[in-house]
Amino acid sequence: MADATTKHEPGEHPDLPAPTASTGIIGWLRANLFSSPVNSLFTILFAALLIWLVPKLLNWAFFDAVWTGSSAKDCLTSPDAACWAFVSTRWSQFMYGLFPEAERWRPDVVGAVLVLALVPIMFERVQFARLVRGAAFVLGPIFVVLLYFAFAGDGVQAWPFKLIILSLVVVALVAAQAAYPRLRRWLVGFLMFVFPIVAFLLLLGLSNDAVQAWPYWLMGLSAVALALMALLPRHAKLTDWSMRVSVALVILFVIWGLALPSNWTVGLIYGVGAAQSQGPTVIIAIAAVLTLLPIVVVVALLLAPRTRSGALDRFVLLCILVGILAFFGNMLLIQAWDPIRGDSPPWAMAIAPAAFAVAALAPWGYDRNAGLPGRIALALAPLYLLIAYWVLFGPPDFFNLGMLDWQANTVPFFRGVQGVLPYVETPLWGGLMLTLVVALTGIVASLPLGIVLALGRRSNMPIIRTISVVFIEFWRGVPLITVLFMATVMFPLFLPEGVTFNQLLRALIGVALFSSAYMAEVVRGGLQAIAKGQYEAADALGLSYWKSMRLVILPQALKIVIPGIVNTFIGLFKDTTLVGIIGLFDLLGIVQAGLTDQKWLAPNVPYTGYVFAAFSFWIFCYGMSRYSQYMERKLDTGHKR
Amino acid sequence: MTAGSLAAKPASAVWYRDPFIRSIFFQVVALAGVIWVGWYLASNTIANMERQNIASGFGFLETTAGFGIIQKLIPYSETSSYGTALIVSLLNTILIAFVGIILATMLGFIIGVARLSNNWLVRRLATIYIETFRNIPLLLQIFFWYHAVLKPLPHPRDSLAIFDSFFLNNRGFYVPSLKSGWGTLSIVLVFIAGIIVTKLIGRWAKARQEKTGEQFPMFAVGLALIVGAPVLVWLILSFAVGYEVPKLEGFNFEGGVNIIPEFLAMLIALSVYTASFIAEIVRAGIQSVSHGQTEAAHALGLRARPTLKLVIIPQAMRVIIPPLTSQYLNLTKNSSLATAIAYPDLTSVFAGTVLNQTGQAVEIIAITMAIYLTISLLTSGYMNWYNARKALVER
Repeated sequence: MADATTKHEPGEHPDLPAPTASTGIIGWLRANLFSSPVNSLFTILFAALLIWLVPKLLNWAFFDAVWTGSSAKDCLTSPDAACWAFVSTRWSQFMYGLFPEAERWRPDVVGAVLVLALVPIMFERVQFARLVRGAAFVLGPIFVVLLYFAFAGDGVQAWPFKLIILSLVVVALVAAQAAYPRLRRWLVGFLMFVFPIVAFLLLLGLSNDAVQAWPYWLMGLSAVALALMALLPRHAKLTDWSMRVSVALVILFVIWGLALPSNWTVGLIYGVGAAQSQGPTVIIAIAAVLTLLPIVVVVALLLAPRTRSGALDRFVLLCILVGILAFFGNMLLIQAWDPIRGDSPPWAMAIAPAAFAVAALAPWGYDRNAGLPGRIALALAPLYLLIAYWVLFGPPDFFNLGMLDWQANTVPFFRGVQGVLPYVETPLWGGLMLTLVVALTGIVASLPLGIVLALGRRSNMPIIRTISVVFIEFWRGVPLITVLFMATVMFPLFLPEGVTFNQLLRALIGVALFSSAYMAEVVRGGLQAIAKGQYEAADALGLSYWKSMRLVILPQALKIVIPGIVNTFIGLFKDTTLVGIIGLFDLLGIVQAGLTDQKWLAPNVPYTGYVFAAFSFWIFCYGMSRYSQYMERKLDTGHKR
Repeated sequence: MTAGSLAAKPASAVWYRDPFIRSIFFQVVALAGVIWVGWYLASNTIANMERQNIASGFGFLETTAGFGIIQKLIPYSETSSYGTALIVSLLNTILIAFVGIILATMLGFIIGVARLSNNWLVRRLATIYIETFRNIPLLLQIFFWYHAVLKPLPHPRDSLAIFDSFFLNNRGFYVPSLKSGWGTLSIVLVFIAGIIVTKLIGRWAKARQEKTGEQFPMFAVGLALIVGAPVLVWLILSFAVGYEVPKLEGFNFEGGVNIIPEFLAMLIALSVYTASFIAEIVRAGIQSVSHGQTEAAHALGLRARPTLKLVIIPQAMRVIIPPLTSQYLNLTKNSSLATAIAYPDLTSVFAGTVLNQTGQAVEIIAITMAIYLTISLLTSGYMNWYNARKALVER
């Protein structure tokens, strides 16, 4: 070290180290813990508090805790510590509710598929090295714990290995989608269009009614296929295979139509017959013609020349009109036909022509030359899903509308399907699974609805704006619990006689409407934050309203509000606990129910149960908030102050 | 090309592409849709109510309720009407919201400032507090305080006693009360009078300062009037009339004031939960004032305290107030979770017990929602007014 007394030429003095009091651990302590007398006092006070508290907490949670046991007696062996035996005994109930034990692989599969599809989407374009490092840091310790559990009990457990394999596959997918950007598109499409149906099918299973409604299955599958076609590249031409798919769908529908004696094509014949004796002949005749029109049009479509796009435009427009006419024609027919059959109107039949028209129209949606009608067809895309949903799951459970007797029409193949996926009615759902179902459905439903409401609120059409404002302010102004009460006691009054709604579905609708209003306000914030120049630039480019929104405004606005959206999701996730008050057994509800069990009456059991539930919710919410911070950093293309 | 041909409609424009016609069309369709949905729901409801013989109208509000309420701020008994029950439960909602807002604000400001402390330990602890409590559902926290902490407390006989005059047991928290009934009322009145007088003096002081430049010790005077005066009245009263200390009589306490465990659980959970949000708002508000402001204040020769009081806090409050108001609103709406532990608030008593007894779902849910909606709209109306008043006047 340079001697302080040594003389140096000006400018030649070597750099001296910083004073020891301002560097290293001591410097840090001085700056951060003991910078002033008051700060020192606080530090000592809180350090003392921590030294007193932390060992107590650790003892409570780990060292003195009861880990195995089967009743309150075991818990009482250490009454001042957690009784994890309560949680481990009821573990499966906390996860699945009363879901039949033999069927629990179904929620597992749904969860695994969700993780597989969602995680790669969440981590777009992660650097490979970073991914490996992150995975090693996060998953390494978890794997160690899992392996411990795998070999801890008697014999080797299988589930830790399943989890390990799942997480490795997820990591592989994340890496793969960084290399193949197309994979991401497929995953998004899968998550949006296929996953909801798969999840619903697996969770709910097939009731006998659903199995017997096999024609609906055909329709539903066709609609799913149509939805999948939304993933096709925009430049697909009519001559492509998408057209062929469409033709195949049309043929499917025709088969379906002809296959059923009680179906609308045949009903038509009865209808015309009935007209002579009962109904007003003219109406029945009109209805019959209208109902037959789609067939005529589809045949004409297949034969139509496809050279000039203008001609195509008009033709597609005609198809839409025919579809709508056919829809109403069919309703008319059903009305006229009703007295003969003596049952309530089979509404599902009215869907058929609409689906028919949509099916025939779908390919035009993906053709650049299709123009406005094509875009309308594309805009109908959500309808495909609606139809698929209704068709697959509607009749037996959700809309208890007078359905036709499908028993006679069950084909042997579908009889064979019966029993493969036994029906699990929703009152049996519960635990974490139900919490996730409610939260995810709410999230998925509230985002698009919220965007539409936000756009409506910013619209310059006074009536649309007023409707949006009233809707948003109403739902934001009332507590969720009153919304759920309303869903429980008032929904049954809102619906026509005989129509009942599943309790879970009622809660889901309430939650979705409620959170969409909050989502709308978040999105509106983003829309308002976009500079006016952006709107004007989009207009100057000649973009239409929807194009300017889709291509210019929304991508920027949604990016700004990602933290707000995730915060709304977190709020929604926490709010799912309220469904417990209206009698559904979500995670908190089922823990609460477990605490009232006479077998587990011990003073430390409530603490244990609540801490377990709190920790479960905390993991999800904290994870989401960390993810939102990560996205904020990642999307932050501006400059930090 | 002439101006005339520019102004003329392009040949390709067809009527259905005219934005005006389109906007009319969409609005008519939207309106028709809303009206149709409204009509559909209303007609179904009316038909269903007729079929199920459900009474309609608001006559039930005059009917005798026939049930008791464990916490009441105005006289109420089983012979009172449903209308009185509505008011009692509404007052209970207002009470929990009011006390909760005060506690949450105090706690939230302390933790928000602690989050910005230059003491590492304090900062970390504040962060842990925030990240823990805002990520756990409120209902779970309410259950925790009620079922795990307050309900398993000992019976009145083995109460936890503080100075032999405060007692905590599974029936609630018993505190001494002033012997005369109007004592509490007079303290409240003095408190309100203090606020009004402070406001008036503040106006006068401001006018004087603008005229003469002399400052008035407003904070000290305000504190003396709003906090000091009620405390003084309380002290005088407690010497003059004395206290009634709760006493164990048989199985329960007599005398004093009983704060029921439901209220305590709601209060703790609501304020602890909301405080974690308020703390983040306070932190963001203070951080939103750029450091240049502090430097500018120092350059003007202001010391640390005036800098904080005259430069930082006024600007931070502009950012803090709007989200803070919406947190107050959230707290008020969240107080409806009381129904889960049967604290007799609006939702629990009116949309719960009264609904079950009368079966008039439509009217009762409508009244309940209307009350919450009114509170919300009044608050957001106030917030808009405040924003408009405090908004930066831009060039």
